[in-house]
Amino acid sequence: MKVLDSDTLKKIHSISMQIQSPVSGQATGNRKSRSKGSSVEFSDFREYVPGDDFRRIDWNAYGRFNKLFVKLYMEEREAPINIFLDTSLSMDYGNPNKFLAACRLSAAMSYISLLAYDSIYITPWNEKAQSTYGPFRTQSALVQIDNLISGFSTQGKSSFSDALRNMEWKTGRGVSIVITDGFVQEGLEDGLKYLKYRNQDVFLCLLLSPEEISPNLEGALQLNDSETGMSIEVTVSSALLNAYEKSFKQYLAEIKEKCRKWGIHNVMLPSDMPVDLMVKSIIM
Amino acid sequence: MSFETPFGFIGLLAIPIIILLYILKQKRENVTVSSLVLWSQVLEDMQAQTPWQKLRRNLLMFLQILAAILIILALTGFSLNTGNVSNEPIIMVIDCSLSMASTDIKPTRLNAAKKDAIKYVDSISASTPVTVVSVGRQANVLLFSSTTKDDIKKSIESIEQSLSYADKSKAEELVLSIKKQQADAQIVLFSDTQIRFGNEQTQFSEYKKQNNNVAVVNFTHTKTDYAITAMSVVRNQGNSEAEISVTLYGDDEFIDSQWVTVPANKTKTVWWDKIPMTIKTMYVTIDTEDILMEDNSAYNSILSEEGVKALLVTEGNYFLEKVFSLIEGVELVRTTHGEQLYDGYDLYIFDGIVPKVLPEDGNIVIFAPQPNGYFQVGEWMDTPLIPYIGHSIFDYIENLSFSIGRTRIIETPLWAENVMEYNGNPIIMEGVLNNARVLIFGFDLYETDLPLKTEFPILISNIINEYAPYSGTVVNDAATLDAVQFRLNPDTVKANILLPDGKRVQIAPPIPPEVFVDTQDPGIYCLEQIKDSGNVNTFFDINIPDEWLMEENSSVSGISDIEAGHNAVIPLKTSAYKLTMLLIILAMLLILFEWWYYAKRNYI
Repeated sequence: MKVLDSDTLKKIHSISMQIQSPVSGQATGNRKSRSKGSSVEFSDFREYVPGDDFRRIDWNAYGRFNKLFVKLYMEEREAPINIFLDTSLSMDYGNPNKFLAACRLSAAMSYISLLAYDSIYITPWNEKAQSTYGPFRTQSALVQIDNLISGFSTQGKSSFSDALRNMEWKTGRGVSIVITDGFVQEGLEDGLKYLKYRNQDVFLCLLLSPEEISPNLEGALQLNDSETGMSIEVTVSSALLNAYEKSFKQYLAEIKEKCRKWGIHNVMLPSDMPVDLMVKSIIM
Repeated sequence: MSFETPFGFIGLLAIPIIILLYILKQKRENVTVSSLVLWSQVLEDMQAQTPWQKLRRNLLMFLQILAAILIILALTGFSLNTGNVSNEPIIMVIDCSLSMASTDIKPTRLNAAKKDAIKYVDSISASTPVTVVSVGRQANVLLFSSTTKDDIKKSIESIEQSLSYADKSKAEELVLSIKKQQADAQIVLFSDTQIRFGNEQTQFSEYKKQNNNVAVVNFTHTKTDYAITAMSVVRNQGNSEAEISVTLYGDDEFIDSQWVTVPANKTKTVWWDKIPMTIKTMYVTIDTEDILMEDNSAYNSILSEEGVKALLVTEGNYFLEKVFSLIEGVELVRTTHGEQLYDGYDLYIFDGIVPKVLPEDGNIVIFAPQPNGYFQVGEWMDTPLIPYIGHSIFDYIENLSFSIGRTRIIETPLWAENVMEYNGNPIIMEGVLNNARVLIFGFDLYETDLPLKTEFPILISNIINEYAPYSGTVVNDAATLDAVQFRLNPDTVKANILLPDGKRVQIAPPIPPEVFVDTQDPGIYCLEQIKDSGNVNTFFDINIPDEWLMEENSSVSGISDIEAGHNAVIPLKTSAYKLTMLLIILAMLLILFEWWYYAKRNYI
């Protein structure tokens, strides 16, 4: 494995993701769906009409009501798991590198989804969605995912809403895991709203490097934006660092508040956090 | 507020350099961050909170500029004036004599004194009346009791360097007379030497750093049959021996040069011989530079010895014939009176007669005049013993008294003045008639014991020297700023003076000319007399007077009785506070603060 090591796989092997809302996957799976099907979980009765499978007729009910009823069971389907991986240049930063951590997290999330018989769609995006890879359905697809993710690289600016609007949606109701640093030039809020509009159970993973959480800068500096190339001049002082910290906390608080309002799971993940803990932080 | 050395303001150039260095210093370390979203927000917030944030960012630069300004002010000798609280009148005496042209204080002592005087004016309160007196050969009140600072400064600035000595007695006399009017006035003296004003207390600002000056204090010549020998005297006014080069020029051509060693505070005579007789003007100059170059040259003109053509008209006066024949350089022609017209002589002596028409081309001496058409001559009167009187014809004659038997009763005409008189009647009178000078003796030489006196040849020699036409154009021992009175030859129609700088100044007409005062520059001058018979040029020299000699003479005058031990001269009290040390300390504190601030990094 190029992205995940076996130790990490072992640690996350027993973790499963709970999905609250019904999904609408195409293939049979482990997730509740709105469709009626052939699972063991009873759902409803209805009168028999010609063409129904007579094996599902409830003969006990015929004995009492003298009418033919068939038992309806809930269809269990796979959950479409969309992983939106931010590949803008801002992700290529920090020690440990945010993008590397994001790739590992994507692979890890894919892995636990594959274990739950979900279908995985991976969409790397920056200004646009570069492509949507998938579905990956079987555990054996993990190798494919691993190869796929290891081939990703960072480039360009980030515009989440544009990326979502221009992408080809292959799934319906499902789960969307957005892995980004949140330093999106434009459209993060619109993008998240759009995912909700698409009936997605959204997990926003803000992956930040320790340098972004607590900058270790000093002296007179010219700070260059890795995405836009713009620069500003600062002379770093304790006052400035305090102000940054305050602004950073406020920025996170604003995102958290908005996510709460829109029913989006969100979590801030330092890039130096072990992947298994990241996964647990997301789904617990 | 004043600045002792405004050249220090050159240091202001450092300020743009500091700013430039700061601009260059702003080259910051490049650091790439993932995004500027948060940083931009932080900066906006902080600038919104602190409107002077941009200034604070450059606080170090401002501190450095402020420190630079403080150091520059310290260099300029910045001082704060608190003003003269007393408002007592001030008599500012500024010495502008020759020695004040010395360059031991740059640019000259006088310029430094004027500058300090103006600074002093700035320091006094506005309502203080100030009198400005300049002291050179003359002491002049330039401004009397003015409270207008601009006028006071202008009058100080108007003081020009004089190339003559300071007449301390005149200065003392003038200042004391002002002091009488303003009893509470303070005397403030700006000079290179102390001047005492009686027993009055004087604040003295001295301008003398050194005295390394050698001057030519005398330059004269004598003629022998075949050459001229010149003598120059140089004086070392300094306190150390001086080895100097002295050069003699004749008619502006190099003649000779000598190296001379002059002991400290001593004079040395330098001789120059075998100077060609053809030389008309000479000057000697000290080539070695010293603090006062103006007194390094002296000038001398060599007069050509012209004989005097004299006509003696007499019926046989033995005394006159004899005495004229004894005097060297007189070409005497004797004649008896006739009806002829007299002309062609420099001097006419009429003994016992007055022609109907007096000659107009030469001066005239008349003894025992007869009645004539020029002045009223009456009978004879007895005359007592005549005592000595002061007149140029009696020069070198002391205690002369002579008897006159009788004298013509003469009515003094308007064109003449009495030289010697008895009861209002002139015994000797002189005047100018038709441009010719006329000297009239009312008595007959045969009726006096004057020819028997040993002084008689001197008297006649004086008369020739005074009344020979060229004598009126000879200028002896004239110094700068001397007034020179010329008596032009009777037949001169126009006269000019050629100044050392080549300018030509007309002095006649009017005839007789007015006193010539344009003698401020030392050098060789030339009197040009334009006549119908041809032009006559006479050179004369104007030299800088020997200031030491003049000072000695001045001290002899002693107008006031100075009390022994009375400390009349005190250093100048200035009300300006020098802030140099304070400024330097402030600058150091600023630099320390800057260092502390930098170390704390308590800035953005």
